[in-house]
Formats: sequence, C-alpha cells, structure tokens
Amino acid sequence: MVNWHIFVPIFFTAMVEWVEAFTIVLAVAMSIGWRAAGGASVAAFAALAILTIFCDRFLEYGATENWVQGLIGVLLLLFGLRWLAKAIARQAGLKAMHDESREFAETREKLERSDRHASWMIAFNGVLVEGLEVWLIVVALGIHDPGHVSAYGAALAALVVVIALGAIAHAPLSQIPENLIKFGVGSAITAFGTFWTLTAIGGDRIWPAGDWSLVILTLFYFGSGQLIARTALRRPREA
Amino acid sequence: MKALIKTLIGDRYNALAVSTTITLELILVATGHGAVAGYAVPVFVMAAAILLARC
Repeated sequence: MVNWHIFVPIFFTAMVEWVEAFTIVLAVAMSIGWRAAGGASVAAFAALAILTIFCDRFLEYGATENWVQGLIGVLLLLFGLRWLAKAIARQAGLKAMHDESREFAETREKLERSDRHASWMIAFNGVLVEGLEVWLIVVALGIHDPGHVSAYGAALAALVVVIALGAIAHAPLSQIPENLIKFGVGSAITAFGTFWTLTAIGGDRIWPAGDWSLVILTLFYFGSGQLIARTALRRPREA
Repeated sequence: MKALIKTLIGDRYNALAVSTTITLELILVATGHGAVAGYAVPVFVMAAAILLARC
C-alpha cells in the first residue's frame, strides 16, 4: 500500500534532483553520444545500488553529503572551467573552430578521445551525486516507511517521468551548433562545480537564491562568456 | 596514470585556477564573509575562464 504522505514529497523532491542529473547527462550526450552518456548513467546507478545495499546504516547524512559534494564539485570545476575557457577561446577566434580544417579534425579526434573520458566521468559523477541526494532524501523522509517501499517507489517514479520528458525535449537540441553546445556544457558544469564546492564549504544557505542559484550561475557563465568572447577577446578569423 | 591525471586535472593553469577558487571560498567563509562569496566566487571563476581562454 502506497503511503501518499511519503510518496508525494519524495516524488517532487527527487524529480528536482533527477532533472539536475538528466541535465548533466543530456549535455554530455550532446558531446559523446547517448550510448556513452547512458553507459555512464547506468554505471552510476550501479554504484548507487551498491552504496544503498552496503552503506544504508553506516553513513552519516550531512557529513557524507558535504564530503561527496565538495569532492565532485572540485572535479566538475576542473572539467567545466577547461571547457568554458576552450569554448570562449573558439568563440573569440583565439582557437580554431572544430570543423575548420582536416589538420584540426585529426587533432580534434585525439582531443576528443581524452575529452570522452572526461565527459563520461562528468555524466557518471553527476548521476552519482544527484542520485546520492535522492537516496538521502529517501532515507530521511521515508524513515517511517517500512521497507522504504513508498519512498523508493516515489524516487523511481520521478526518474521515469524525468526520462520521458527529457526524451521528448532532446531532439530540438541536436540542431544547435557544436561550439554553442560546448559553451552551454562548460557553463552548466562550471555552475554545478561552483555551486557544490561553495555549498560544501559554507552550507546550503550560502547562496542568495538557494537552488535557483544553479540556473542563475549557468546563465551568468553562458551570458558573460558569450559577451566577452564576442567583444573584448574577439579576433578576426582567417578566410 | 599520467593521462588519467591530465584528463582529470587538465594543465597547471587549470589546476591553479581551481585551487585558487577553492582557497578564495575557504577564506571568505572562514572570515565570516559567506554572504559575499555567493557573488564574488562566480565573478572570480569567470575571470579565471577568460584568462585560461587567452593562454
């Protein structure tokens, strides 16, 4: 029997977390394809399952969440800042665009091979940290739910809804130019990195707009990066 | 192993930018300027991205 007092709040809270995870996977899939991004997600879910089975009773919520958030935040900052800087350099003409020459295409292949590992790790880490938050929510809110049936059911239902909505929305995104996608990916990952590192250090209340700060940060990095790349850093492209 | 570290961390400038960002976050929070951090850190990160783009 479903306990709706547990199911409903967990469903909506988990949905927010799954949307965040799906955003990361979607962004990564635009770079390395759905198969690799999906594989990273499945691997993260497998890691989460192992974590759930073995660590349910041993982890202290706050300390663990902070520690994981901080660590993964640093990794995301390391990836995101690199991607954002490259996208700005390409947009400004300081670096060749990806499809400009055969020589660059060869370099790209080599670069993308290393980027693929980084991208895979981003998708894996993103799903893992968001999934960990869902798990903590399930454990915390579902404490009075015998066997956590309603709690885990709500988290899974939220995941199915987010995947279904994401499947409908992803097709139009494939029409966007590559560097613009990388600009978006870099901005989003840098935003997640900034958000998680500062949250891990200063706590949840450090951000003026709460969870909305993630959206604001992404827009700030994307908007200001585009503006600076098109004005101050702009170099004329070779014919 | 070296390739993995390079994949994870990037070059020395990238590592320097991120470690400086974390240090800034720690200093602001430790000195009681947490309210400023939410505004100052993103601006610092953006400035670092621009400097890295020029490298």
